[in-house]
Amino acid sequence: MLEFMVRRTLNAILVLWLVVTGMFFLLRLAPGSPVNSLPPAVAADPLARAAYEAEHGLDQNIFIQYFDYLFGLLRGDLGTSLYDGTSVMSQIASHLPVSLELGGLAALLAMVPGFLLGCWTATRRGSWSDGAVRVVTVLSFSVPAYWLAVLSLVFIGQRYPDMLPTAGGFVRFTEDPIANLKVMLLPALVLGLSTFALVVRSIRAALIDVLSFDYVAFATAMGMPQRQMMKRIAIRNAIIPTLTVVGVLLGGLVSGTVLVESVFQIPGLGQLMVTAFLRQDYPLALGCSVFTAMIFLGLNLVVDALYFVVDPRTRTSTQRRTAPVMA
Amino acid sequence: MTTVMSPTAAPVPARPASRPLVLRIVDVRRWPIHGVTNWFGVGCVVAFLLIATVGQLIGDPTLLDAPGAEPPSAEYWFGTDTLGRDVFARTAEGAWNSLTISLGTVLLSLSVAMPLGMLAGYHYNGRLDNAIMRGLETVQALPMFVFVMFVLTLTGTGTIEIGPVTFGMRTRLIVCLALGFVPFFARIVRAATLVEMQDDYVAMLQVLGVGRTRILLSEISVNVLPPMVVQACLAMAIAIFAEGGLSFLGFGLAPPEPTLGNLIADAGSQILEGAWWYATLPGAVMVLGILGFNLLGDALSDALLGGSEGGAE
Repeated sequence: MLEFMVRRTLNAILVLWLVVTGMFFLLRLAPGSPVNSLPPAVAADPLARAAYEAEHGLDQNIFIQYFDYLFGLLRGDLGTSLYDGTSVMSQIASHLPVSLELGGLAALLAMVPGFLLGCWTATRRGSWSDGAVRVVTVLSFSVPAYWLAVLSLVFIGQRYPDMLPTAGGFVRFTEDPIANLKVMLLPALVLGLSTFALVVRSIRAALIDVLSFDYVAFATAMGMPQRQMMKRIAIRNAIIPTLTVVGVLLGGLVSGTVLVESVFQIPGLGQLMVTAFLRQDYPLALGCSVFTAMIFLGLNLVVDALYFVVDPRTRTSTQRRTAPVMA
Repeated sequence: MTTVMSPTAAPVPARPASRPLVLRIVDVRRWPIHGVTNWFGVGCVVAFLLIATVGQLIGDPTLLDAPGAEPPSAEYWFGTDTLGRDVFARTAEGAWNSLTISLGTVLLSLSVAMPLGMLAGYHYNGRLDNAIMRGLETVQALPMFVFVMFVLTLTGTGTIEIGPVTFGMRTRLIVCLALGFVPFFARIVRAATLVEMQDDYVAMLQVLGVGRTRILLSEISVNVLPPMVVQACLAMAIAIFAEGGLSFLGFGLAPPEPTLGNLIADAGSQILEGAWWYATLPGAVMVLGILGFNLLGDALSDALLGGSEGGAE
């Protein structure tokens, strides 16, 4: 188990390094690189241009710039924003907790009810309530979060303006926890909806699969009460295939925060990243992307570790039972 | 939403032998007739296609012909926006843009991912496989949507000219989105190829001295096609969502050109007193497309792969 996790961690670090390297060089070689998109006043004047390039280290060899960036990254220094000259690291540090809160809240609101509903509907397979749940879940993951967010702005926002964080209504958790949770509730629900639907569907499919196995029939035949059988045998086995979907869910949640934050004007990492991209503020955009990749890879590692917690059989071998297909 | 086919756990899908793929799709007897949702999915897709094609003939998307925002009426089916433009005409044009970009994305990424995935699967655990998988993991280290946003920004905003070919915004969107979809498809092709590789016919062909290219191109590619058709449908749904999201944030086609995403963004930025139609109807058309392709994917999975009712996940 330890060996497997060490290998996965090393692999994640390798991938992270590839990502940083790839993004750095792509950014420098791209037609929209910082060298080609100087402020007009600077680009016209050779002296100002040279000063600008020296200030941002753009006059050096690209490999020197790359190693500077890499070592800076290790020290926690990601450069300064081209737009307002603030430190990228401090910008991220102030925006990241908000995104983590939003994502965590959405995951909580999606996974707990989704898990319960999935288990409930699997035992009622083929009934009208199962059909209804199926329709609701298909609909929920077909509705884009950004459309739902706009709808809630138009329909809920006009009646209950305090429910929304727009127009400066956002309060940090540390300032006023209750007011913060109140404005975060709606965005978290909007963000979590498709996750909720996928959790319901995958738990249901996995549980139906498990319930058809012989050992379940055996336990029932030996007189195990249904509630206990579900708790001790069926659900524990059904969680394993569901874990493979979690990678997809995490991707959806991270992309979702980008969209939902920009609709509700929540000052999180997603909004910071979109603004950085739209302003072509490269150090900031690169920093945000690196952090997103780090969080995403880290969460996937946690999911890998969860296999060992959920499935004792994997503890003895180094193989993971199932392979994720998409993320 | 995805059909999980892991090399170790998945059973070899039963292959209805020797019937061409097209016939299997067309053959109505194989369609689960009782599945109301399947037919509903087909209906949604047809409706979306109709709006995107025939709908464009009705009204002018850029003409300022009403005095201001008007609710839906016999003349303007979806009402008009603040500038007095016909929202239905704009939605139809947007749906067409969305459809062409998504279709281009899926086709392009399939054509890149099929060879990659098949090669990786053919050389399972070999050096080529490892290199390809590491590359795919790197692309997937960012969530697909964020990755596409990154690549799209890289390419700048102007048109790019490589030799005689000019890349406009539309082509660039397709290329960037397709790049994001390549890992998604390649992994599935690889898994499907692995299943095929365990089949005796591959070993026999190898013994007979048939080359790799020929085995991949004329034998394995045909057999991995059915799951790919299903995944392509699901990918269409994701592509419509992603294209909408990009243009919603302002990374897509530029605003005078309508897309479903920037119509929704436009409705969100100018919240009108009671102008429910502008926020609701273009988005509903988008949901029609996404829902339709999702359900169609499920239906095709039933028809082609013999998936059970609960096995869609």
